[in-house]
Amino acid sequence: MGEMMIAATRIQQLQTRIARFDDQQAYRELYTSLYPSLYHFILEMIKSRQIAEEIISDVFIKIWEKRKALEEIHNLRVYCFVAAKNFTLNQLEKQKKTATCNLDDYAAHLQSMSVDPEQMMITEEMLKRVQQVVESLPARCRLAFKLVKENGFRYKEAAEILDVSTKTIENQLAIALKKINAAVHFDVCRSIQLSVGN
Amino acid sequence: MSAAVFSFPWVINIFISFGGILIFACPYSYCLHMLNEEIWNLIAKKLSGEANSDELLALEKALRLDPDLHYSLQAIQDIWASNPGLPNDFVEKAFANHEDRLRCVFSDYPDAGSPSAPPDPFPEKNSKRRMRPLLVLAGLFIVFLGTYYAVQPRPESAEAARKAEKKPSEVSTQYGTRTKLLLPDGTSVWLNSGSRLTYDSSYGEVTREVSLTGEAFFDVAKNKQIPFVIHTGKINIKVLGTAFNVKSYPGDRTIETSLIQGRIEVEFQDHSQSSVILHPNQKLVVENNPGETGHPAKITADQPVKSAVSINPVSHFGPDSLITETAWVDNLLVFQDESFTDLAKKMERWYGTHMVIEDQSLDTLHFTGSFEKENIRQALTALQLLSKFNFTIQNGEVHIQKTYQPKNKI
Repeated sequence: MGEMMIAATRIQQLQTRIARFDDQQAYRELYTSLYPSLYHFILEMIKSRQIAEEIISDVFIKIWEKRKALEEIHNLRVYCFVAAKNFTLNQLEKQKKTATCNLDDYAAHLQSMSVDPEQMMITEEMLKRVQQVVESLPARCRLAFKLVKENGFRYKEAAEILDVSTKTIENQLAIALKKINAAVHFDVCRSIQLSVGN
Repeated sequence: MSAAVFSFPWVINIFISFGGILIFACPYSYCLHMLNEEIWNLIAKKLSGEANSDELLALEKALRLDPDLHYSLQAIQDIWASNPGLPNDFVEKAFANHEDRLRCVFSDYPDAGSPSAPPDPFPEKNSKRRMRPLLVLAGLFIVFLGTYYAVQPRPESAEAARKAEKKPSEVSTQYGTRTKLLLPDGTSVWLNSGSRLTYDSSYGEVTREVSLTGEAFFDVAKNKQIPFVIHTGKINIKVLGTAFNVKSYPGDRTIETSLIQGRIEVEFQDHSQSSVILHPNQKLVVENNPGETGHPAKITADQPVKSAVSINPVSHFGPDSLITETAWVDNLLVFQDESFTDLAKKMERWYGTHMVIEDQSLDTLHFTGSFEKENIRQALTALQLLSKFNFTIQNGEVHIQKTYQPKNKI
């Protein structure tokens, strides 16, 4: 079951509490509520759970460090994602020389799309196929798709995080959906045949 | 269930693909091809809540040309509802690790469990105003992540889930905010400011009934088996699948229903008069009787009073002749020949600021225009170009006064 998306108004409240009162409770709530989405986001770019955790920790150390000026940040959620992206890119740069891929990490990542297919019109098989399609999308397209779909970012916010135009996000999402549709469609045709056969 | 659901469009598909061959033979095939490219953009926008009303209408049109897409849309919508999370203990452990690091970096970061946490300056229980956005977000959560989950009792919160099952879902907006939500059947609802929409947790299973106070634009998912019914004020609106706007604020003089596409039937809850069928680009205006405006919920079932009812065309404005009644969906505040009182009421909802007109004579002024990005001060300053009045903004309240005219002293 997915984490509940944290309310923008709640983030603003937490932001104020941290900035004005060094409120650790608020800090903790901010961390735990943004953690799952940041974690999946970073894993899209770097296949290591340990590094993902470290990067989130870096982001939040920066937040605590700058807490007095926290209220000046207009959209803290977007800010965290941008920071996470920059830390990840730095990390990738460092890794270039010593590239390793931990298979164990990768497997965990593939399970990230968690749905209960029983509750929906889609079959488990269909879902698997969709997952494969999504994973095979070009990196930028996949990131745009996941930011909007899984993290509920507006196009504008996703554009800011990925440092591209809103139009690009629009195009990437259309491409992603078109490809997913091809995967879904295959199954739909089969289901229809099956049900007609009954 | 799947047999019933799947077999029906299969039959339709044969017809359509037959028709498709004919269409592709004609010179317009190029347009259809373009449409196919664009449609994924529209679907993505619809699912992510980015689509404006024009785009939704375009999507509906495209879907009608290619009903095959309904399936893909439904399946993608289901997949869209999924959202990966992480187990709580996983996150808690990460936070504990993080706090250890924090204490190394900042010697002043207090130990865990120290009683230094200040009181929450935003106590949610004490303030209704603070609750509202949370309610909205609760609603958005339910809707965007799939009501499927919300109404399913989960082991760790079985009690809460049972409560949720009995309670209707409610989405509301404060003055100054608007929101868009997606109902479980794929119906999209744009909720204007100061409005409330409620529906049962069983919505979509046997019935599709919602109650509305305020204003909303509906893009109803087609389902001939289960009509979509809106209860508002003293009318019920029955729909088979269409796009239309309902404006029914308590305290307003009228209830307005504007139909953009499709066909809807409006019936009176007290059966005081026969139902009305609306056609596209028509607007039904039902007068609230003077006694009703204050307490619309208490409308008399025992003493049916006939309401003044009229059907008008929807109005258009601007160079692109946008529809006035639904402009708010595109973030435009539009007013056409409206008295200062009526406009002030709209602006109160739009900006979330209380407005006081201090001189009754100012109500003779009528305004036509639209605001998009202007804040309330800019908006009022723009209105001053049209008519003479003064305004002051104090403690979040706007006071409108007559322009001071010095009397001649002898």
